[in-house]
Amino acid sequence: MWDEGLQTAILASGFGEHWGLMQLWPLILLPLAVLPWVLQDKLSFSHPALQGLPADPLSVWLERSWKVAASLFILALSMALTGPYLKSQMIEKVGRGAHVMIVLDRSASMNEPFVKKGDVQARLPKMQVARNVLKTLVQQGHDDLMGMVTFSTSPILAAPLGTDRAFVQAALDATEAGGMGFTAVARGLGMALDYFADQPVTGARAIVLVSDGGAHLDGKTQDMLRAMVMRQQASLYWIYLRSENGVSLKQSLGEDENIDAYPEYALHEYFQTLNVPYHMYEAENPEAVLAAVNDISKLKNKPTRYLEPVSRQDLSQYAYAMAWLVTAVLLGLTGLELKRWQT
Amino acid sequence: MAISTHSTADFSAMQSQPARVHAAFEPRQFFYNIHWRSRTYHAGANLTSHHGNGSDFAGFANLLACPDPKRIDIRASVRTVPQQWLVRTYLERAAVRVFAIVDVSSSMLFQGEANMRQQVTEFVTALAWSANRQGDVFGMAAANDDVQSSWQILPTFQTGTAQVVAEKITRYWQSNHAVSGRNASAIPAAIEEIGAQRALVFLISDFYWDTALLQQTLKAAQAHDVIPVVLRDQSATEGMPAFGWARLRDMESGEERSWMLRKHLHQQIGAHLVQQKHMLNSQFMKAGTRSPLWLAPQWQAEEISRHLMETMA
Repeated sequence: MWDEGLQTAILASGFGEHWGLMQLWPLILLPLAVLPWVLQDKLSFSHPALQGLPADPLSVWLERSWKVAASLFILALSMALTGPYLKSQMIEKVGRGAHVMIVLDRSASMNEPFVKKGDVQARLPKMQVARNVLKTLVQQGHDDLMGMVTFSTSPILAAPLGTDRAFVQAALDATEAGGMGFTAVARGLGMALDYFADQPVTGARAIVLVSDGGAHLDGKTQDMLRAMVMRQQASLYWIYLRSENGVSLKQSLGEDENIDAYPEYALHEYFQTLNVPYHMYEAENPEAVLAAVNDISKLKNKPTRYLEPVSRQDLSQYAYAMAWLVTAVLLGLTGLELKRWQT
Repeated sequence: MAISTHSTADFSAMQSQPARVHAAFEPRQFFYNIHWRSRTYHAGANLTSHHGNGSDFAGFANLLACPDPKRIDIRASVRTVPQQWLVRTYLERAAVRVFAIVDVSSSMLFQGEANMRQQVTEFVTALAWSANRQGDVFGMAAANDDVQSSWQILPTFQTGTAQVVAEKITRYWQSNHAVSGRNASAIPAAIEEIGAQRALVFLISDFYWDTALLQQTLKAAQAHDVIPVVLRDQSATEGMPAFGWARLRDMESGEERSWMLRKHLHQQIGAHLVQQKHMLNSQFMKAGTRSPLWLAPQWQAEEISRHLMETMA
């Protein structure tokens, strides 16, 4: 019966669930807190006759505060030794900014520079340009949630959607290894959209697609992607890194041109039919990429509400602070105390 | 007298010594007198009510009733009608019984500025010595919660009683130095053991008693000539530190008290002490004892004598 009562008490207090103790053995020191109430006659002077002599309210309070302080001192130190902590918790935070999923093309064509001729500065690979610019995007907007998916033939999750910037930066650094394979845009987008699926809609969602080319999507894939985008309410930004000889999406195709020969153009047209905010930045050089990213980073929209995990919190500092406080009280009282009765 | 020189020499020696219990016997004699008549027949220095060979004139008696021709008073005889021989009669002088009743409750073990136990030893020893010197009977009893048999001295004329007293008391102190929680509740019983015959009783205590015990004691001592000897340590009440916080514990009741000593509290305690002293005095007066003798740490036999003479009536 006692065990049951104890268990319910422990459960009700949330022990193990919300908080815990690093060590249990200092708990056996807790009963020492009765010492100040028991050991009195060791500390007091003998007096032949106190009966009838006046009792002083101030003195009574001094005595009480001494006892309480000494008890608290022992309790606080014992508690500090047990090392109480709050377990990791989710804290709701209100952030301003967007949920941004970066979808980065890592196909082999990304290793090529924008132009074939020119100086070294101009012939940086597109991937490196994109990486540098995206890094500045990641650095800005501290309240944004960010994530990254890279794709070539198949998508790879580089960093899940979250507040951890270092994660995304590291994922960007990891793209220094050269790209390879084809451009499977649909699967990359699908994966990025999947990460929105777990999250409550607490802010604007944006997908930043960085790629230098498109791919043909068959009808089924198109429908699926459309449905997903609609469901997640994500706006789409496409930074199109146009090669020197690539097609420009800004100009409409001529009558005689076959749209199937230009997958980028087909993709652009498809994106426009998605019924979500869509914007395409065509970048022929590093400066244009930077301009596009700056544009996206200005996306300041409704406040974002999200839960942030807080690592477990050590509570023993409060116990130590308490011990310090009562030590001050005890020191004061000790200073006031008479060391010997006779003058 | 040899005794007085001896006592002053010892007295100065005692002052230089640290206060501790020791068995050194210091003869100090003080004098007491009584205003009532002793009923004992042992020759002594005190008035009696029975006729005998004393020097106190009692009256005249017929020669036939008191056949002592050397005390025939011719002048008184001539004035008698019809003529008869009158003889002067005298009262005898006899010894009285002197008792020391000592309170050995825990509060008497208080270690203050003066050594209370040493004072008790000195005073009782001096009393035994004085009674012995004046040819009176000396008896002693002590009590806390029980009557202490180790203190018991049955009324005796024996010379050397003072030495025995000093030894007994010292031995007692050495074996019982820090017993707390003992009251003086057996004091009335110790007084009752004296017996019904009137005696001179020195009641030695700090009189930190409750009223009930005091009344009971005084009632038990009603038949006797009681001299309360009050022994109180100054540092317990008057000579307290001026400022500071102290925790105190009553040696008898174990009561705890916290005192933040300061001017205000000193005044309160002082007022209480005055009131307590008044109360004690008035209760002694109501009970018909002699006025109490407040024994100072460095008491002198002359002061004791003076007090006893002055408060004789």
